[in-house]
Amino acid sequence: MTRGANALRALLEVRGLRAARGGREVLRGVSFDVAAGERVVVLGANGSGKTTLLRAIAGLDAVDGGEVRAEGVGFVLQQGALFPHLSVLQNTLLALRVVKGMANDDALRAAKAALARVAIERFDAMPHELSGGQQQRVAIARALALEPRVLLLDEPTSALDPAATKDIEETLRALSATGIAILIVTHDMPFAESVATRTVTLRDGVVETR
Amino acid sequence: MTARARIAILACIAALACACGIARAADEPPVLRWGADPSGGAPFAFFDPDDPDHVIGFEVDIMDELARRLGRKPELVRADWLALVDALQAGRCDVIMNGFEITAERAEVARFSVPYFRFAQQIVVRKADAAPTQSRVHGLADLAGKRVAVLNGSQSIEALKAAGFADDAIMQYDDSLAPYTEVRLGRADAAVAESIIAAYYASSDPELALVPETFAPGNYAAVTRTADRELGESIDRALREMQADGALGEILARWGLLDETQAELGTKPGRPQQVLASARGKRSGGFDAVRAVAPAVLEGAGVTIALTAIAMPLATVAGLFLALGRISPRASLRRASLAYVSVMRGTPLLVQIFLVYFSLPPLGQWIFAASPGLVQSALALVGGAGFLTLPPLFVGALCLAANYAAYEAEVHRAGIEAVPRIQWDAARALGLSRAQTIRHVIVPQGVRIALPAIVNDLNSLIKDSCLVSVIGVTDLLSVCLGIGKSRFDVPEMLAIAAALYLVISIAGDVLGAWLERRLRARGFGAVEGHAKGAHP
Repeated sequence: MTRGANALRALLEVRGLRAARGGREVLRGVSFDVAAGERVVVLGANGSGKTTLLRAIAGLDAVDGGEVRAEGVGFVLQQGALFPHLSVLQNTLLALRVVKGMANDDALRAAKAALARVAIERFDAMPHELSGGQQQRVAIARALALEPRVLLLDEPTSALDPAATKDIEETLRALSATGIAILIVTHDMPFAESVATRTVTLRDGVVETR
Repeated sequence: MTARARIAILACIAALACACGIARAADEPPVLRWGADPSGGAPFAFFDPDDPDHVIGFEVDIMDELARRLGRKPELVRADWLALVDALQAGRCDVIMNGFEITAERAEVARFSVPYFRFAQQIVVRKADAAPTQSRVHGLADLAGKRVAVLNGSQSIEALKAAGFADDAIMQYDDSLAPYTEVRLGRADAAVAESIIAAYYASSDPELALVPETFAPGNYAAVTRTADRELGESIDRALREMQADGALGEILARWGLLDETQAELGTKPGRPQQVLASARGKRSGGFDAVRAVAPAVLEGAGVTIALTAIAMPLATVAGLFLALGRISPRASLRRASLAYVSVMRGTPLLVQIFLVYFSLPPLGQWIFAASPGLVQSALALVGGAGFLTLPPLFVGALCLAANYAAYEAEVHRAGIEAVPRIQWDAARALGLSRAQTIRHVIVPQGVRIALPAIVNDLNSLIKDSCLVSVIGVTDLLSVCLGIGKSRFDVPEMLAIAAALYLVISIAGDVLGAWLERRLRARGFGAVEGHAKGAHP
């Protein structure tokens, strides 16, 4: 699966993004694209604005300028952030029912399909009964259920053991093979080197060009 | 119990409460609602020691006869003695007959009938202090510099002040039995009360003695609203009749109260009758006693449980909405919720109960009068101008709920704020609106976090519910106190009440523990679910 990124249409376009946090201008005109099938890892020192960038793209925080163009963004937050009071299936169903207003049967089918893509079968398990890696995969399925074209992941392997990290990597490879654009923020260098088709480095609030 | 069963029970209670109101509105024989405090003690109107479901006393007998002569059906409205006049003004009763001394002060706010009983103040001391050989206490003068116990709000206070007693020498108690207990225990040197009460209690306690001399005579009369002239005058006529034809004398004689001073009021002696056994404090003992008091005590316990079962779910739900108001992005909602919480937490529950109970009826009359005809005819279905004159149990439960809602609001707020910030983000990232996030993600987690604190508050509500006895709700504590006074066994009955409160509160804890287990069984690993996920 090594297709030239430039040959494909960009699913995520970030243009001149500017954002300040705590009175400091963290992003000072960030621009880059992520195309279908790409797995782009954002690198940068602590405080370089990686998480701010993801949250801005996901629309969680306001920005001060610039533009984000994306066709359906799914965001997997740190450690998955599953809803602890809902089962695996309920976590995946919630947005389908509440946001998309899908009928029960349709929602159930979509949720199970999304969980199948990350190889999770314990539908009725509660999050705390799962391993960290499984929780991360359920979180990915929860985002996938809404059929995003772009998937954002914030530190998907933090606190995971090597085997679970490997599982996540394989899951992400399989997803990008289906044409999803993936953008990952991580401190886990071995994982980054292994999973990335391309890296983007943030320095002084802009994308470093080499 | 399933959620459905719980809702069904609540609905039944609510329907019952409504039915009570409607039934009263549609009552056919004209009712004469008379106010008295049966926990005030014998021999006025008090719980029958051998059948505590019934209220007996010489005033009950007078009122029965009086109502008969007026062609009306007497109906006792219970209220705390100090609140009886408020109950009258609020229209909860039409007349008070409960040892009300005629005073100029009271005559300004209400109308006194012709007197039905003449009393004087009398002193009770420990038997040793009244020993004939030493004769230490003959009269008021011998009490100079001593501590004297009296009933709060009674005429005895004025009599003592008039005799030159300082305020700090007069110990005031809310119940009529306490002054005698204090004398027996030595915390007070003497008790002064109206002769009728003094004689009743002193004669039943072998350690106490009555000083024969009486002083500061006065009269008891029925009290009606000043505006209710017609009723007041018809009561006057009926009482005069009863004095003249011997009916009143007969009732007083029956209770051993027909002394020679009653003639000063024009009360003619009737045929003397045998004194009621219960009127003299004779009571059954052992197993018979348990059988006699058990139904009333259990009924009281049922009232306490009902109060809690109505109030706590209401408080929990209302508190949740208040908590959401507290964290609302709209400043006006935040301020309104904060104001509610501050006022309800910052003022005594007892005061709230009093204020609500006595201001609802006039408020209802005002609303009714100010409403257009259509609204009035709709209100007529639920009692007309008296539509807010709700049964005391209902008002009591509502007050408890309203007060506890403020505490639950803070408990819920703490629960909601303990939900990790990232849960809001995760919900928003999935496209949930703020309202959807609160409903599906934040509240379910916040409630689970708050649950132990809510169960804790349930426990204190069970015990705080006894405060509603001030508006005449016959809950566990007031029933036990009333029976205790009529049986001269207050400590024993209080111990029984305490034991039952313990049982109810343990049942509440068990229910709470069951709820917590159930929520955990549904998989909520509490917030630790996050922590575990982070460090597998």
